[in-house]
Amino acid sequence: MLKVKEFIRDFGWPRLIIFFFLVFMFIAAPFVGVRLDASFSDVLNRFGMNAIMVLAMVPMVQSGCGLNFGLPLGIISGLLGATISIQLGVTGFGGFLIAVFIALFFASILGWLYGLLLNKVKGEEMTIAMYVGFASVMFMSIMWLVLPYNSPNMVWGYAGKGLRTTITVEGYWLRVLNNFLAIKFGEFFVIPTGLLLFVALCVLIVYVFMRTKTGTAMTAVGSNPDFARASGVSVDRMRAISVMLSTMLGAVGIIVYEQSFGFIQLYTGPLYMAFPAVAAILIGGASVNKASMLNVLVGTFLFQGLLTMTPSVINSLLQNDMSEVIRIVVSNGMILYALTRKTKVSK
Amino acid sequence: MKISLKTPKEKRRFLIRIALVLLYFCVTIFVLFNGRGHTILIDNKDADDLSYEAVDGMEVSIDSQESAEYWPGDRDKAVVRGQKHKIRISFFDEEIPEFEATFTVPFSVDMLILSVPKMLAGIEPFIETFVAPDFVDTFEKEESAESFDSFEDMYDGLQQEDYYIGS
Amino acid sequence: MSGKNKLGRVLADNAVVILFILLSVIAIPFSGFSVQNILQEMFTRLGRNSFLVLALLLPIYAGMGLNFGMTLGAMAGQIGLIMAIDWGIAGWRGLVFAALVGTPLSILLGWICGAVMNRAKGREMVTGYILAFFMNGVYMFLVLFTMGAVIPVRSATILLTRGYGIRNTLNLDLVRASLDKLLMLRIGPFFIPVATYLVIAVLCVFIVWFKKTKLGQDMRAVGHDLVVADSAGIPVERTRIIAVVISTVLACYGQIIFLQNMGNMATYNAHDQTGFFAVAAILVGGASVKKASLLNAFLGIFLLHLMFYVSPRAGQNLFGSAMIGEYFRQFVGYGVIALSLVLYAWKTRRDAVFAREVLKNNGSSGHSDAAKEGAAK
Repeated sequence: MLKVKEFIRDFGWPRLIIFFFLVFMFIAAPFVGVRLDASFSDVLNRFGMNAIMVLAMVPMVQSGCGLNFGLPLGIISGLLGATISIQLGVTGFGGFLIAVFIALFFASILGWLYGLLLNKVKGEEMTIAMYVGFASVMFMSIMWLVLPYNSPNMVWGYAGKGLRTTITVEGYWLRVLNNFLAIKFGEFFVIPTGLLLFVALCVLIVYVFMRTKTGTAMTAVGSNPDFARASGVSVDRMRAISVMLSTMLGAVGIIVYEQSFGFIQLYTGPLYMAFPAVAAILIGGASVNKASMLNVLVGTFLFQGLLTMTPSVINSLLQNDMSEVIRIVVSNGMILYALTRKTKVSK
Repeated sequence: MKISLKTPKEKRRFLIRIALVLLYFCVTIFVLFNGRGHTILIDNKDADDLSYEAVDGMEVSIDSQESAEYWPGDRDKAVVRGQKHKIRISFFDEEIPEFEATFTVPFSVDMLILSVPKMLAGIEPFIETFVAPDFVDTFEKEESAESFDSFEDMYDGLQQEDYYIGS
Repeated sequence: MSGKNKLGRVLADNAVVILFILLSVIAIPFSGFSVQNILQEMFTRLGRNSFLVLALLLPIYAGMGLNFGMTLGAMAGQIGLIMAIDWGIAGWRGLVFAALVGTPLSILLGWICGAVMNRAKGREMVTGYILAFFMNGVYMFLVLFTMGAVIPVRSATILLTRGYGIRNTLNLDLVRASLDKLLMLRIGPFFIPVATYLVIAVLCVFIVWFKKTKLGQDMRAVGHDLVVADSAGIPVERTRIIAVVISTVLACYGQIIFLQNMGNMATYNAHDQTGFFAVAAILVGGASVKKASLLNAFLGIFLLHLMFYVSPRAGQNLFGSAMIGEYFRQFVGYGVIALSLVLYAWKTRRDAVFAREVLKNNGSSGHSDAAKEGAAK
């Protein structure tokens, strides 16, 4: 009994509630006429779409920079990569790779600068990250209007300049990962093998990186900065590297998201994209200063499962569109829970 | 919260709190009743059975609002606040003296109709609750065409529009 | 310390204000607005926004940073207004009614907000921000699903056609500008809402008075140093909660004043930007996370709204696109918040380093003032 109590305290009751809620929804789905195989396939797909953006939280959390509310900075790098790739007109897998490489280039520069900035404001990272993210999104909104793009698939038809709010990637690299080695079971159930493999690859890369000399130094900086400094690790450098890595992962994440979603969303689209990712990793069991690969995978699966299942099940159960409210309350409630939890290691 | 009334300071604090709560309720009730808006339709029409007749030309003002002219068959509206009101009528026929009366309207009614001829003839009740089912219906229908109830409705609406354009 | 260095310090300390004045000076001619037009708009906007911005002051004094949780108060005010419209209460009485309904709600919400922030000391701002998002969900649930279904609503015209939930936009005709029009003074070509200004003046007096009371002094002590205040016997957590409660209640009144001026209310979005505008304004006025004054608030409202008013038109005239101005002003708004937070954090570190050095040299006479200032932070 004591063990159960301890487990609940460590794992946190909000996570348990969310877990059981999701289980309940999967059980209830067939009774209200929601196809289980279709929903499960949907959950898998959305898991793959979002996992890398959730993964982008890990390096910053581990190095003690807190939750990466500045994810939009990585996202706009990704958008730059995606739009330039379409502008160049490369289709298929090549187009996707070019987008990724260009995005990584921008993300590494922006991420490094962003890291230097966050080093100046230790202790206030999260609030500042949020507003740096917002400001960069608004700045890029101006840029989308004035940058000299001219691919007819992307600019407004009548003006001949300025990017559209949503750009389709159809005909370029729509679902290149999803369809790679995709396995179909029946009419509704598809495993997006390529997508899942790509996610696995990214997770593996981060996993291996966190175990290299640099990676362990980064974790050391996060868990005990004074000790790290004493043993000759440059705290600022480690933090900057972690921020850069997070930003780069965010950039790749949004491109993976777009190739599956089918559209590039510009302008104010990325404004609030950090929040679902933050909520997901917290639901997976991470705290403000500790996160693992397992947290990423479990969290993304639970959160995306919740987002997929609530609209269909709740709508057919209660005959109203309550799912939006549930999404807001669950995701922000989870972040709030993590922020207010008394942490053992102070920042 | 534990309330103890031992020291004079605690006693005073307790009294102040009670006073504040009372004040809160008093002010709420005051603004609730005093601020409650009613629309009064002022009516100058004959009865169906001619038991009373419309006034042949008058000027009516409610409370201290600007007065309006009425001929037989006229109907106009005045928006008032509170439940007790004064009505003043001066007739175009100068031989009839000015008429002044006070009346109260029920708190819960939004729109009511006041028949001046009935009031002058002393027929009770001269104030009736006004419901305009037809008017309300068309109003709501027009409105709902523009503002959608939910995103789904809006989405359906848009799809329908596309459909019409397409066909 | 040399004169040049001093000048640099003054410039750095007021960087945001100077930047804003420069931006406005550039943007005004391009907007093509007349001075009279701009001034009239500023008078209106001062009346509309001041109350909300002033609501931020107390939590800053209490060392809790910028209270993004003020959105909670705004929601309470909106629920009050929905009730007032539902009951058909017209004029300033409607506003008073809305405020009276909103007061207990915002006390409750403020208490929750304060308690949550007490569990997240050191990151109150981001916590308040997320709490506002969270409560937005609760607000949506209340207004969209229970009003008309569980909570009785008497007038069908404010409900959605499905029979429950409040319409997306609420017409505030009954109370529109009722506070502004209560005492509208005409001076030359300008219309000045004197009654609104009086309410704001009363609030200013309240804040000045409150700072001098025992509670106000405690609050500043808590803001200065939690540990010292605690050992001095000040109930730290309670004081912090009171600061947030007062701020939330003021935000509730502020939102009511804001909405009566606007004349209609986007039921589910009106509170979205409340915290953003208020925080941006006070920061533009030269306030920081730890230090703010009435002057900061008013200067900030003037500068921010000047910018917000002229930039879309300036963007239209300069680049041929109003959207550029629109994005630009949002960029500036968010950017200013980020910049002031960065500058503040940077200054705190700089002063700490400076103080350490001075202590090392055991304080030559010219440095003692600066050292005190540095040590205080």
